[in-house]
Amino acid sequence: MRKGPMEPDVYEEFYFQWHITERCNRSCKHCYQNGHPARELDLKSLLNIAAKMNEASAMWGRMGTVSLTGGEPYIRKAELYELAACLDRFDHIGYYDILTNGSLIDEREGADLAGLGKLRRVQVSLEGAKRETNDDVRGPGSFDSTVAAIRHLRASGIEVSVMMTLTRKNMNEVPGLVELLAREGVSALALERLIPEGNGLSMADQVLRSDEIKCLYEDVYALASDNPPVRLLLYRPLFALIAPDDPTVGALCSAGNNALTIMPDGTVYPCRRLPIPIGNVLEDGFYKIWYGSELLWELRDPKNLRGKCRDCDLLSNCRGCRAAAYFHSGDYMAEDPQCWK
Amino acid sequence: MLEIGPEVMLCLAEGVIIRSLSETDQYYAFNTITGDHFSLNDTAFWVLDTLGKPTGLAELELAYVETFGVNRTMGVKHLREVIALSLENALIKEVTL
Repeated sequence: MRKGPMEPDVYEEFYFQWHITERCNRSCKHCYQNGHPARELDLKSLLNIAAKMNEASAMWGRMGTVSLTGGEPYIRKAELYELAACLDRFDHIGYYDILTNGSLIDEREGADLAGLGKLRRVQVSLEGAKRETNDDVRGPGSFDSTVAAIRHLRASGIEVSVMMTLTRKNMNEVPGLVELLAREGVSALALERLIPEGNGLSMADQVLRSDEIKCLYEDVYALASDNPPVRLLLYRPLFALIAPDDPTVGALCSAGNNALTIMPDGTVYPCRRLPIPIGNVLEDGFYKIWYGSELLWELRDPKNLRGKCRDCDLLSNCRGCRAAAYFHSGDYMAEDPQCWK
Repeated sequence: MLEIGPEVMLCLAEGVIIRSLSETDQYYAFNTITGDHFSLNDTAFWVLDTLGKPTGLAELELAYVETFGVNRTMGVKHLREVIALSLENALIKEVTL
């Protein structure tokens, strides 16, 4: 396996996951949102944050990459496009993705997106190869709506990736989903573990056991090794256990290492799935947060890990998912509850 | 030539924080206002750590020579180089109490 031409080395990039709104026109069962409305920033403040991202990327000698998301980012469509145009002008932003549920994307949207210079791809989500599996989680009609969005985007030449959140109900649908995505011209599939937070708490019984994750990851790795037309993104914690010597597999959790999440009001989290505030970018700036957050320093030092993660021989390419640990035990430095090692 | 009078104290500049990383035995100084960041050797880290509270140069020189057990002339020369560089990079500042 090898990296695609547009994939930077994850250690050379600095990733900003930017939730410009918490509002959404869907209410997916597994969503990490808790349903509380969040204050949103006006365009001027959003552009200010974008400038801070560019400046910080330059200062740190990294290529800044951004995911513009929500909620559903198309609910703030005007601001979304202004931000995209702004990011296009910045020298130290390598590319950005738009993460959307796709329901508000029509033919015209695809054409508009094609005009954005640094848009790498649009990510939508499907929860399985079958309509009923997906719609059970994301709501009636969402499967057809998402597939229609993929077609609009592909018709405009936009690269599309899909994210699937792994649960006990959909774990057997990965091969079928790969086949579907290949037919639709989707380039990549990301598989995320279900973290039971927010709405997702109601699906806690769907979190895979460690033995189930192991079997699934082995199957996914075998599938990925067979050079499928859809690239399976394997740079996630725990994948390193499957193939420790394969450099394209596994990755350190990015929290504290090369990523920050910005919420609609400017609050910063280490990761969207680890929703512990570590500052506000408008009040503190990225430097104070990145250099000064004790939580981030704690995450960076593997000596702070507990349980079996602490003495693992794979610490150089896997330190488990800190969010999974947090929502399982209340301790974000605890061992990854889904690790089978 | 570093010229600091006896009435002047030295301390960390506003927004500067220092860290020792136990994982790699590395030391860093960060300016949380400008974003500048510096790798430090152990003696520079000691100096900046000591300047967490305002300290006069004479007192600092004495403590430096004692802590590292070095020849006074060489120790003071090295310490002054560290202080000059730290002032130049706005990691520390002079204060008159």
